[in-house]
Amino acid sequence: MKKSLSQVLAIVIVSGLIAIGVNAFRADGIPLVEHWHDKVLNEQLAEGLPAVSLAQAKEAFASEAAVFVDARAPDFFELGHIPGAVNLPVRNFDQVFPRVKQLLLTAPRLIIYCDGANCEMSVELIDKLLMAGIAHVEIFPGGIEQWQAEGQPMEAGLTGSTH
Amino acid sequence: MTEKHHSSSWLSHPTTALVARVILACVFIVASLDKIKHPDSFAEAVFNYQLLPDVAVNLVAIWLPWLELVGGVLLLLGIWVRGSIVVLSGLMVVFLGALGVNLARGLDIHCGCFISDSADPITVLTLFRDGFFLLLGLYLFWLYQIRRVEAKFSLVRIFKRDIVEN
Repeated sequence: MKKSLSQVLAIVIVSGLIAIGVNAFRADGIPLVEHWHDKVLNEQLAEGLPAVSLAQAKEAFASEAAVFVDARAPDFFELGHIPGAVNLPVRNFDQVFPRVKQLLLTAPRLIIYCDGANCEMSVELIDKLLMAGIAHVEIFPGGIEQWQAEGQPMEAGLTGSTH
Repeated sequence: MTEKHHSSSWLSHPTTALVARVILACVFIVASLDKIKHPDSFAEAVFNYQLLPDVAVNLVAIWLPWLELVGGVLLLLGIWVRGSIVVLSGLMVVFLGALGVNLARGLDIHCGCFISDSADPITVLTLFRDGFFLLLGLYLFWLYQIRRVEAKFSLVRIFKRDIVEN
């Protein structure tokens, strides 16, 4: 057993040294330490997307001034989403988009969200929507996590699903 | 009793052990390659699991694929078999825990298991797949660590034999 543990330790150390060595010399190496929450948020904002705060999202929801678009997969949409939201999963964009295109084109405002500040599906979906000629998009970076954490109404099931 | 003996001999057969070893080793080697090729995408997948503090995300993303590759190659070649089985089985336990937590949380994230930057969502099937790999690891652990069977088709044995013959 002692021998096995020495082997484990050796494997851990050797792989760690190779990993750090290769990362240091390769052109696309990544920093050893990075502040990911700031990075993702900055990426969302760097796209120049109009961001919607929770208060603005609540206001848009109450006044029905916007259509919320959920970028997550249908399974997660079904578990819980902002009531009335349309599900446009970024990973099935090509299949689902034609079915909701008219609705999105006629909506006065589109607020895109996914899990929360850590997910990039909203940004990916907005890129696809912009490419498809839909430009009146805003992003709600807080996403479903902030919405739920603040006790806002949720809806479960596939109402609004496009499947 | 006879049946038990029969099943035990089947399990300890060198061919069964070799097949399990090759499958487990290849799974880890294949799984490591795309992560090593795309460290930025894999770091994002690690971050999305939301299990690590920000400062640990990149370190784990840089190190973990190499741990998989080194462990996999050693197991395949039959070098430090016992140690590599402990490492790979340990990794599988960690992966299963991480997958299970995020499945229970209901987060829609990429698995990042084999391909770090494409659509590879976590489902119950992912848990079953990894559960099977963990079973292979535990089987090899039982065989080599507890029953102290020597690995066949091992580079170490081949070298040792050469030395003795010379």
